[in-house]
Amino acid sequence: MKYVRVLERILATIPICLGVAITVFFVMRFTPGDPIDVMMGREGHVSEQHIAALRREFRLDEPLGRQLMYFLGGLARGDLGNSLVRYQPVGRLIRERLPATIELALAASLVALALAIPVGVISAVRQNSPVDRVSMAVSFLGVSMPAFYLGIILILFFSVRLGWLPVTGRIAYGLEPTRITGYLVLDGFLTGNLAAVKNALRHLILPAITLGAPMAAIVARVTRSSMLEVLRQDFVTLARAKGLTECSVVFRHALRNALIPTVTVAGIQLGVLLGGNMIVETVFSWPGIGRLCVDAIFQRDYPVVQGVVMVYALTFVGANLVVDIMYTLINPKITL
Amino acid sequence: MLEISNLNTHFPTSRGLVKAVAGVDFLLEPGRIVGLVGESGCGKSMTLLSILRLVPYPGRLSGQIWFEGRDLLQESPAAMRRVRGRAIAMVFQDPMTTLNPVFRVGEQIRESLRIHGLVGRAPARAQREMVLSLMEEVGIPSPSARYHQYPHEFSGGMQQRALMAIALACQPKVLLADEPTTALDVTIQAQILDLLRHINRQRKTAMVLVTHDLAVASEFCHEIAVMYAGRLVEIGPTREVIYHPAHPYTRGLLGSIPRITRERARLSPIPGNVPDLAGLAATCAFAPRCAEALPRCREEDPGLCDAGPGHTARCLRLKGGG
Amino acid sequence: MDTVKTRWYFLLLMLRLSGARLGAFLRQLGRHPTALLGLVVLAVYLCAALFAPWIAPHDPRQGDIAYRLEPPGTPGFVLGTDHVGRDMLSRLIYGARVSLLVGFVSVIISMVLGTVLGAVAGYFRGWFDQVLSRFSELLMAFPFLIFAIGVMAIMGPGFVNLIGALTFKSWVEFFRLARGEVISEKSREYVEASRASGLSHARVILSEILPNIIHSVIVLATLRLGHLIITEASLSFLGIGVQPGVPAWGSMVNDGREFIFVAWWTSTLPGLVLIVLVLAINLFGEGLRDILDPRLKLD
Repeated sequence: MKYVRVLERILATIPICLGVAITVFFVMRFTPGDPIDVMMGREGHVSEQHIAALRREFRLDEPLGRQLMYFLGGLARGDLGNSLVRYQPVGRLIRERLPATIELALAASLVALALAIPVGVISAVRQNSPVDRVSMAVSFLGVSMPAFYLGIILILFFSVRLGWLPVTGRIAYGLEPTRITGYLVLDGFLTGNLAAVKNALRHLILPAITLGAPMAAIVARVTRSSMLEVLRQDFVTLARAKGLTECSVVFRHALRNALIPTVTVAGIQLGVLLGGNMIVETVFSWPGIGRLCVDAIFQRDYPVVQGVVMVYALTFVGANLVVDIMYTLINPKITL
Repeated sequence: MLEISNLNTHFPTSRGLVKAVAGVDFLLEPGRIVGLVGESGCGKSMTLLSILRLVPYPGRLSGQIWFEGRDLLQESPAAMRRVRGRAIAMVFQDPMTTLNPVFRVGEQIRESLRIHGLVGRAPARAQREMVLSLMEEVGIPSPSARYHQYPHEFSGGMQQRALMAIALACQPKVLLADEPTTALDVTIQAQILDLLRHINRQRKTAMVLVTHDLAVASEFCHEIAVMYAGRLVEIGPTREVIYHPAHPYTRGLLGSIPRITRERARLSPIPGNVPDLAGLAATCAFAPRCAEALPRCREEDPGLCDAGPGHTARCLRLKGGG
Repeated sequence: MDTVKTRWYFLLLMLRLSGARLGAFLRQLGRHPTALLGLVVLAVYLCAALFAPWIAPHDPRQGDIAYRLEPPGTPGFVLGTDHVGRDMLSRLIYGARVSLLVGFVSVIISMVLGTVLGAVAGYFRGWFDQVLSRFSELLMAFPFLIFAIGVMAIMGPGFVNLIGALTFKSWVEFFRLARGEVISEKSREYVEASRASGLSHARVILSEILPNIIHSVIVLATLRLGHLIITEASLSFLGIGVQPGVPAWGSMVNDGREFIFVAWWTSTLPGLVLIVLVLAINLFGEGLRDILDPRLKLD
């Protein structure tokens, strides 16, 4: 029963993915300025023939419908076109940098959730205590603060003033472990290169905190209000009447109910994570696809921008799908 | 068995001290069923919660609750937890909201057994068997199928039975029932009451049944205690209280019950409203609404006065002289 | 003939609503000191932005290289100067113009557009609703910032483009809110009653339903305003916000990044000013929600 619903959800995302791809395509085609001109702008004066040849190569002389088909076909094959600036396939550029971004995103989510959920629970259990007020004030601040600023403040503090943590990059030059998966921390473990692991982690801390902060703030608030709701419910009183310890009541009975809305919110926050990603990668010079995109924007390297935007959008759709599925599975009421 | 002595449950609020339960005394003997009746807000549910010390923040308890030779109000939290669900169990009003929606019913019943050590290291099968027999006892049909279901898949009556299974799991000596039938249809009500009666006879479980329905109380309980504005205003054997009500409030309650058999007449409610529980004085709380009030009633607190064998009421008129 | 009367009726209704509410509203506000604080701070910023040409001590675009990177407290430059010698205070004041202008305009356009479309879609349902709902789902598939960055990357920096980019994604939220509320209001009895007394669809929507949902719309608007201002700053930070040269807090933070080791104020002050503004807006928004929400039930 439930699994039918899950399947439904999965199928529903296909039209959206398609829509995303088509939107990106059309937006790119309607860019003011001819991509060929942009490319040629670098080379100086070129003959008309050369331009016409290039047009044919990039299939820009064919009707729009055909171009769309080529585009979608290429997409299915994983071919996202070629970078105008770096003369490499966009797909490869993205693949090289994707692990960096994923590592950062995972670290940020981990930090955010590991911090926010306990804080939310404790704030709810000890409502109106100093802990509660302080944590809610801090999370309010977290929501009002732009990611780029938090990053800069952290750098100012921890790198400039205190010198504890490095400012930019993923790992100190020369310390990179042999590349197996592309995830530095993992690679370090796999090759037994603990110095690399340590260094990579040190580089990961500030960006992860910066990226995870807004998410943590919102998750903490939602967890708190959800817990407060749940703790007021009758079944909590019953749990106590059964003779359960307070700990058991809170973490076994109440939390499972309270987490249901938290999961949905966490999913929405993933969007924030993806968006903030570009900014954080810029601030910390993190070599991921966010930085790639920003650089490409300035270089007017449209195929790259297009490719990255699409990856982001599809990831977002995918993440929402996962959240949707998890929600359907967790909530026992959704069986009928 | 359970002796409550001068129980007070106070809530400090911005409007003053709310005395939800004020100076309640009563005695519950083994195997007896006492009905606690009164309007909404009179403190009956709060009394039950106070016995188990489940009063929500910022409530404060004072007085004594003697159970098995110990004063429950002096016990440590750990000791209280051993009493709750084990020696004294509670059944709540609305079963839909009282069962945890994310856990299966069987599991919730098993939990009671587990935490009070009644399963020990018995294998999962044996534990399941214990739960199933409990479910059978409370009358849940096809227990083995129902074991794995969630609360929202049960009907209202079955949910209430499940709650009772949870309460009875550890063979408590006292069962506190807070309006167990109010949220149910009349036919199911009768079934649940039968079940309670069966348990009382079979296991000799003493019960305190809270209800606002005098009819249910009169049918079911051995003794009736009437509460008003947080105080106990009358207590005595059922027949005595119903046929010879000693307190004007009780008389008013009985008089306001619409009867089908009599000739048509207007309903006679008790005039006025329940007083605000904040900052009540130590006089008779019912005096403002009482048709038989004396000037003295607004100055003194009556205290429980004799009104017959085993029957007392909080009314100055009973103190001899009118 | 009749339309003139309806228009007056509607106007009077709005005035009556706002007049009656205004008094009660201000009293309510008094009970929420944090919200009041937020409002006051916001007002200060608005005044600063409005009277910028008169209160800014220096020209925000003119810099004197001789005075580059002066720390705060230097005589003549209360908050110091940036790397080109421009006065920080003046730039911050003018930056307020950008943020507030972009923020308010975007929010208002999104609000009006989203609410109207949502109300119509929710009321009439049918193909209009279907098309718009699918479209909004598609838009929702793009994370906000990514979308804005994408649009700005293509269109290039500039005020109009910025407002367009921000609005294009924001209106969806108002659309969904209005649509949802209209759908639930539509089944209420007073709507049936108005239709029964002969009001046309348009009048029902405008005079009956809209006043009831306006509260949630306004609350949403205040809460999104802060987010939009942050987004504008983020875009300016990346260099794809306002035109280069226009003083904007985001770009100021970016400019100051290189000099963070020697001149912390060039990056920190603009961000600080931004945070205070957004905090004020959010505090006010939360207070507004507390005030309006319970009253929604009374309505």
